Amino acid sequence: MADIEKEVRSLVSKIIKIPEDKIDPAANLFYDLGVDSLLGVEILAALDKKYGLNVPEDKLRSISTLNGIIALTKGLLEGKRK
Amino acid sequence: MVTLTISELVKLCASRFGDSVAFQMKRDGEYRQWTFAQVAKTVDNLAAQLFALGICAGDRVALLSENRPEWAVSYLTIGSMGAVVVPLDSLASPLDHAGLLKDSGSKGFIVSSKHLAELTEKIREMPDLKFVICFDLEREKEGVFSFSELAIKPAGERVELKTRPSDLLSILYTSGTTGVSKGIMLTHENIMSNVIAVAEIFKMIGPGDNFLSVLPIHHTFETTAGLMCPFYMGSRVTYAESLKSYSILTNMRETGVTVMCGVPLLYKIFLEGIFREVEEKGFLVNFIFRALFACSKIFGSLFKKNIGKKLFGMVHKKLGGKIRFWVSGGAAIDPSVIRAFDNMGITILQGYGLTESSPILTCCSLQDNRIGSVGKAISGVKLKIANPGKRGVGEIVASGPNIMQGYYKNPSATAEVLKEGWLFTGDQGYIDKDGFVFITGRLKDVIITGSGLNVYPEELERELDSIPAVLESCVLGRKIKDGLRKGMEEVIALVIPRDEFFLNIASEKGLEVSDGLIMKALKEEINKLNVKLPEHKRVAAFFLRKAEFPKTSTRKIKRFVLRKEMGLV
Repeated sequence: MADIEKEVRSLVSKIIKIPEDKIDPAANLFYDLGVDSLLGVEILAALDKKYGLNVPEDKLRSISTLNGIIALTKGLLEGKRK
Repeated sequence: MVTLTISELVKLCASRFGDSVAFQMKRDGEYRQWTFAQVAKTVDNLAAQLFALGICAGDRVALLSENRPEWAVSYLTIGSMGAVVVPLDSLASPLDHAGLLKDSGSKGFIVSSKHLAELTEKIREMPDLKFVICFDLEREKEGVFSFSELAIKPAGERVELKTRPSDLLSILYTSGTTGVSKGIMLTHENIMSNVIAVAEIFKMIGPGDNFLSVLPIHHTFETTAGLMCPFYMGSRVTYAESLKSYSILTNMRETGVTVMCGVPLLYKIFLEGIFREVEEKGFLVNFIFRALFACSKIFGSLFKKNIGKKLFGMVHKKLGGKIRFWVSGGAAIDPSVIRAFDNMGITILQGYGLTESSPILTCCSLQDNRIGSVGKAISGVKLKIANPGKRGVGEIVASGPNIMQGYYKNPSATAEVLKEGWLFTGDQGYIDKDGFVFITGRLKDVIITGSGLNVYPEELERELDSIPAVLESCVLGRKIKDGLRKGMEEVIALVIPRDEFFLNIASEKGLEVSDGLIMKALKEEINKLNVKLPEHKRVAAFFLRKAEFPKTSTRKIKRFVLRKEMGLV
């Protein structure tokens, strides 16, 4: 699971083009890191591709931080395993 | 110029293109299609039902959903009856939707289930609202009508409502905040003259073409260029299932998309996605890709021939292999993005306009594409530069059959921008000797994000000023310096704190009022507000200010002075 944290952080960093070490996992992606809905959807698309998920776009309404994305990914992957 | 009403358009297209597909969308793994004849039949049926529900010419009907064929059919139906469409932004909050339903005096509301669920309580309080129709209901339920049920009910006898080109077709609100939001009034002639003028530029587009709809459908750019233009030209519109790039690519490949209207950020995301994928494939692929990229660039500049399509066959294959061109609008696109796609054999044509001009004023064409310019004035549109400076730069003003009637119930705001038949755009630019328009800046205060969405500072200031800790605020646009959105605009705010608020807090907590305390409290409050705002309006950063804002004699904030102070000019 620690790998997932690292992977998701790296994936988000590549998409929003902000270095990994500059992303505070608790910072709000939308108004602290300048992510907008199109980029947000792109992050979900990258999660889908990497982990074979289908994260609903509506999830963007309730997730606002990198920590949130990591938790969502872990949750969905656990659900998938079951 | 010959123009049409929506009713005439629907009939004309049904007779011209009958069995060709007008709209399609993938649902449950299959593309559900509507032919032009089916669209005309459904418009007829639905209009009869709306008439029976009490809708007459001039009545307002609000429309709210994600991009889908039913939205398009509803738009055409309302317009065909001579009623007025009030398209609502699906990204706005339920509170905004309720406010605009009320302000527009909408008698009918056509909505998807997702949005209806958020508005069930509020719509009960709407004094003018007579009925609600939901796209996703199979049958009428709890007083809400089913779109599919009404759409197949035979029209029976219906009073033919005569519409004229000068009749109002839609009222588009600049944002959700009532009181300060402006409702832009567009007639059948406004929209249809724009559609016909665009069709003149793209004569090669016809029934064999397929437009992909990805931009918010309520946005005039998408309504005119992404819905009405293809409909008029007999092309089909494929509604994207999702905005995820791989899903867009799947729709493109499966349906052979030929044209797409997008905003700068979307194209930048596409471009970055291509580069990322190449990088992930390792050194060799990356090296070959970059070498081909350079070859295409050099060949293009030496021989004036684009070999990008041949060199980047794989990229084209991923996009379905049928792309003719993409159109970019809504905001200024970085020319390097256009050039990068051009090297790969994909043409991006830039256009320019405002919702107030239905919206297209200028557009580049395949024959006449000058990167960096927004193109030439389209047919019927006259452009001139007001108060030109030394290099011919001044405010772009426009006249033509596409210019709005004015702002709904707001004659003073109308008078500020419409003068003797000319629309003062608030954009600065110049027109070169060949007629190409170049935008150099903006005179108005509106902030335009990379997604092509407008943020009106006064509207956001009203929200910020309603925070008890804020005495007064000033909202400005700032160019983003890092990340994927580099060069695009974001919202920042200067905030003057309300002293007594902080004195009370400090005395309650036994603390001293300090900048640290003020900043912490303001950050919390602004974050709370941000959560409620649509994402393009969110305040990315705020700055504390103790001194009063510089103001004009009419007490308006001198934003230019503050922009200079903040180093934003």
